Amino acid sequence: MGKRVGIEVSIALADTVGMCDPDVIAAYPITPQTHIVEHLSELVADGHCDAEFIPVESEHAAMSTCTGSAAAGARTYTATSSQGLVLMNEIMFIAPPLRLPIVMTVVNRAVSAPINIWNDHSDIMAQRDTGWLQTFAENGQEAVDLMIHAFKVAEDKRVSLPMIVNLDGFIVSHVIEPIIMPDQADIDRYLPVFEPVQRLDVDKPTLVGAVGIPDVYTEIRYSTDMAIRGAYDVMVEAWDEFEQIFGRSYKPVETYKADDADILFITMGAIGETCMTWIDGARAAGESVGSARIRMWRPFPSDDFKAAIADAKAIIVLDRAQSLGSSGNPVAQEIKGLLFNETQRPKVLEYVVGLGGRDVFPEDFQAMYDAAVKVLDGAEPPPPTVLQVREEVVR
Amino acid sequence: MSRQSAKPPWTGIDWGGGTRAGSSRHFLTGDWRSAKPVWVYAGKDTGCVSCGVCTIYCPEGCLHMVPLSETEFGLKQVAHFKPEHLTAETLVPKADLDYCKGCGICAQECWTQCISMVTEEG
Repeated sequence: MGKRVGIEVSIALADTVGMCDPDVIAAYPITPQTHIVEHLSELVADGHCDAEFIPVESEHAAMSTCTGSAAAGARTYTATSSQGLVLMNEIMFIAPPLRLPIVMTVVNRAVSAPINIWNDHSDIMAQRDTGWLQTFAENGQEAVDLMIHAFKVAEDKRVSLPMIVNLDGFIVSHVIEPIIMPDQADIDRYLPVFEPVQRLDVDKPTLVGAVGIPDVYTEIRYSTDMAIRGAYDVMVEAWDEFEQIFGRSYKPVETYKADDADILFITMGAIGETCMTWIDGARAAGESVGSARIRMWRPFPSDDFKAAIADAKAIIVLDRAQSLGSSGNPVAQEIKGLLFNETQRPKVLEYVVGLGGRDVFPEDFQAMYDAAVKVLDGAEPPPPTVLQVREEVVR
Repeated sequence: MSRQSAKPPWTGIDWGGGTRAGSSRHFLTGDWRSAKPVWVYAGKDTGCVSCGVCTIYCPEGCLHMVPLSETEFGLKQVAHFKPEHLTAETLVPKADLDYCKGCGICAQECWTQCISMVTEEG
């Protein structure tokens, strides 16, 4: 069992990535990811981490470098946020079909315009369909643990896909938390030496990144999708093994006081903890409410999610990002699409909350909960709503 | 485009459509060509001097030096113009049209200008 220390989450995360023994780290600093790569560059410079640290000129170059180093068979890590992630977009699509197990931390932050360094999920939702495996951390301990898990899953020979661990900018990344730091010996036991399934090798030359004519493109994209779906079993298996070694357990969808709840909040990321705190108060006041927190975002754990909400009469889906001009926002779209053909399904209310670092307060949870109670009393579900918008005062 | 008639299923394609070195010999990569190189081995104003420059520049490596007797019109041209340096056994360049993509680099680089690119119909 590792030692419990008070430490900034970014530093703990960087120390953990260093203990995972990456071969190549290529990154460009951007708020609020900066402390992670800054500390990793120190670890490399001071000889604590035997990696090649490549200080690239942009995030586009960072992801390009990672693609190349992963193709060469190196354990590869990068981290970014917001505009940096957006700049990676072109190369993000390339790693999954090429089956390159790059591991990336995304410290979630709003995207421009207007320029905003604070936390929401706009950056990662714009990368939703690039084909990366994704998990969401709610606190520092989870962020640290999910990093180790990400290397394990991404590099598994049955998976060999790039993977993202999301954590909320500032709210998680810059907070000093009590974190049980993993032991090097435990990480070594959990994480085998990376043996790529295929790599660029002068003795056995291959062409990586060839043109995919109409004759093969469909098959290659299909096989990528099948690989992502197939990664579910390995992700769960790797969490089980993690529990045996580190003693902390993780599930694709976590629930809180959900068993007998009529109304469930659906959350992703750190807001799940705020929500649970509000639920404690509401439960004490006799309300029938709980929550389901989505930890595994890609592949989407459809069966786990359906099981988690099976007995709920209404669910309140919280999105930390918008899909501008759409019929619903990213997480709510996913869930409504999943439930549409179910014969028995709960009413779905959907809210966009906490954009660009705006705090979400207990009274916000209360307002959403009250709306759900009205729906259960027979009211029509409200349309997708952006909470906390200041309206014009009518005199 | 495949010489193998049956196309592979999705499980039978390398990751990302990657290929092994040397695999293009299994495919007729010349079938997208729209023009092919035609040599004047012996002519009134120009003629191939067997220098081999075209074979060096060919990016596909599909030009080979073969005896003049194995070319399409070589012997006819020699019979007509009777150049002193050419016999049926003289090595001259010839394109393997299974792989020639018709890029025209050979015609561009030929310093005797004896190669012309001829458009192929259909």
